[in-house]
Amino acid sequence: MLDPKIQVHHLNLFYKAHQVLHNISLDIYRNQVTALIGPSGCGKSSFLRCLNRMNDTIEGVRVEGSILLDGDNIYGKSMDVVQLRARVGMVFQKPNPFPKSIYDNVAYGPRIHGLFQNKSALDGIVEQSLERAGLWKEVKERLHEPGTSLSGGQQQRLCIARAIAVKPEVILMDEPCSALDPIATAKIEELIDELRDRFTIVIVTHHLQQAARVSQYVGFFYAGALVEYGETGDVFTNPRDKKTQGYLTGRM
Amino acid sequence: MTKPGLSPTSVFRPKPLEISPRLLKRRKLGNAIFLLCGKASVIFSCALLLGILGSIVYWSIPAFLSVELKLVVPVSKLLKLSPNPLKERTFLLKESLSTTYPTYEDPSQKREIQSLYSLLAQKELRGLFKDKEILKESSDTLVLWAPAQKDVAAFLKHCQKTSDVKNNKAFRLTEFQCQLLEKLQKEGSVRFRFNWGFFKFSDSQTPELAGIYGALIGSLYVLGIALLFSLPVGVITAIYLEEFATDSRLSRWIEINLNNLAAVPSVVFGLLGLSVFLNFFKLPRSSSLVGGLTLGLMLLPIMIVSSRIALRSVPASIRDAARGIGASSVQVVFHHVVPLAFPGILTGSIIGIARAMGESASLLMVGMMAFITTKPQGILSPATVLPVEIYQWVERPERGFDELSSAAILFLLCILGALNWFALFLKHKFEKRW
Ligand SMILES: Nc1ncnc2c1ncn2[C@@H]1O[C@H](COP(=O)(O)OP(=O)(O)O)[C@@H](O)[C@H]1O
Ligand SMILES: [Mg+2]
Repeated sequence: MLDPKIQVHHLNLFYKAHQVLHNISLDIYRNQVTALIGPSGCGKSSFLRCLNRMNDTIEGVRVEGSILLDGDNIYGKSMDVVQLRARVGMVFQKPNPFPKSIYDNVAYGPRIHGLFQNKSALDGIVEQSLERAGLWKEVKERLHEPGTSLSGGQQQRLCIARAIAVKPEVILMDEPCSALDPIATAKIEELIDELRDRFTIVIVTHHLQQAARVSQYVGFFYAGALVEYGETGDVFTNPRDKKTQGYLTGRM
Repeated sequence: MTKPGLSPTSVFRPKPLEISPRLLKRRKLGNAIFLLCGKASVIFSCALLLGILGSIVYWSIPAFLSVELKLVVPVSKLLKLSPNPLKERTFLLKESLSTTYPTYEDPSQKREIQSLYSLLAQKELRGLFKDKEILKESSDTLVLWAPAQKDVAAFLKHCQKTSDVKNNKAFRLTEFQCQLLEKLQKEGSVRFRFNWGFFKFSDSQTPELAGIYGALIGSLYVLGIALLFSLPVGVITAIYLEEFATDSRLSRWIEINLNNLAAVPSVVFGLLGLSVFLNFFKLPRSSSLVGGLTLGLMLLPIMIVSSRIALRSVPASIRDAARGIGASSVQVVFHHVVPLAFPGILTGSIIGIARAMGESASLLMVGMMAFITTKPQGILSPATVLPVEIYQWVERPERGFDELSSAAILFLLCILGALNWFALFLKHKFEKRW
């Protein structure tokens, strides 16, 4: 049996009085890619942001239930939110590199977490992270140019490099390819597949083929509820729920 | 007949849109009228601005000119006549005048000639005789260009050709003096120089000795204190309110009041300064400390509001990015948000400075209208600032202060223009960086 990295139990999420997530329970498995699909506005992003408590900063958010990361409740009292976010990294929908150099973008995380002894160790982390994000060859000559001078796809890979530089255990990706062209998208998909051996990945996507290509597990959200969850092959070829069938065949 | 749906003649062809010519004409007329009105208002406002600026420049030109009259100093004769010429007050000037104007013997004429020269002439002469080295090297006479008295200066600046009685009266000169001046001018014994004194002197009763130096230094003191007080407090408040305070009823109430405060007329802050700093803390009246703190109070809401706008303009995606890799709130703010908002904060501050620089009403309220003939000696000693100086000069009846005040206004305008230009420059420079 697979080893769950994150266990979500009876999660309810409210924005003020408006309930966005209804009683969600699922296990996210170690070193697997889990895709979350569903029509827009169904709460995929909200769910993803619960996993590293990015929702905390939004005014009037209330969370019920528990999310266990390696058995520790991330909403528990002893959990340090800042450290949690170092363990559970995030890549956003729109590439958002800092308006700093490429090098500083990647080095920022290791710097604030003190992950290196000396300059050459930091250089090593930066190179390794860019390498893993498949960007090293393209940027090694221009590490000190602004990160914003890269193309959209390169910027998104830079954001991935920035996220993996702090050696997280889980990487959350919220529609990472929605702002990219097909070639850049293909590169990121390839990258996600490679990253799986080190990290646990949760990816939100509205692109069904993408979910089928990159993920091992898939969850279908509908109106704030988790309708169906299982191995990607099973869900795509043999959906049990009517709503899933409808969504997969585009009859919704 | 085939089915209507398949018949080629029944294929839907939209009729081209026909606009009635009357509607078209009306629309075009409307456009033309608006464009005409727009151009007319632009021209009107430009003309108004240019008119104001032009008149200020025109009125201030005389203030930048100083009039000097030739004075021949019989050095060796003076040294022979009196071993210590500095002892007697008017001795030097009188002797020099009789050498320069040997043909006028009459004592009343002599008196009138003497009154053509400014009091400064005596001072300069005495200065000359203090410096023994120069005297030794020079021959037995020496030409000194001495500043003219204010009425003479005004007469020569404004109506150099005419010397009719009407003008004499207006300039408070006698007919003899006018004729003499005209003669001097023909001889080339009158010259115009750039009035450096305007930038070197402080306030004075005599316009040819009055300048903006003291007021400028006073303004710098006051602004410095205002900034030292309002910039850190304002920026820290803005950062806290914008980035850390939760959106509660209290914080919304504070926000509304800050916005209102930023629009409160400055006199109100003057009143506040009066009651707090003067009456309660008993700080000295007219000091740059009190003025600076009062302006600081006025600047504080402006600083807070403009800093908040700058902070708010930093995109949320940057905050998310930093938070997403585990930066704490304080790190997010000080590593990312504040550096990105910094140019905006700076721009806001500079515009605030420009506003404080031109502020007079609130400073008058805290008594910054003393007559001060030096630059301020410290933050507790009396000081005056540029706008108040202008206000005082405008009120003085003596001839010469009117043009001085125009010149000071021009100078102030130049500084304000430079500040605003600098703010724009910073904004553009940093916006382009990434
Ligand atoms: N900050 C917020 N405040 C209030 N409601 C929100 C907020 N963010 C999202 N929502 C609501 O939560 C629901 C789910 O949104 P989201 O999680 O973004 O959906 P998805 O990512 O699946 O498109 C939507 O109805 C949206 O209106
Ligand atoms: Mg979303």
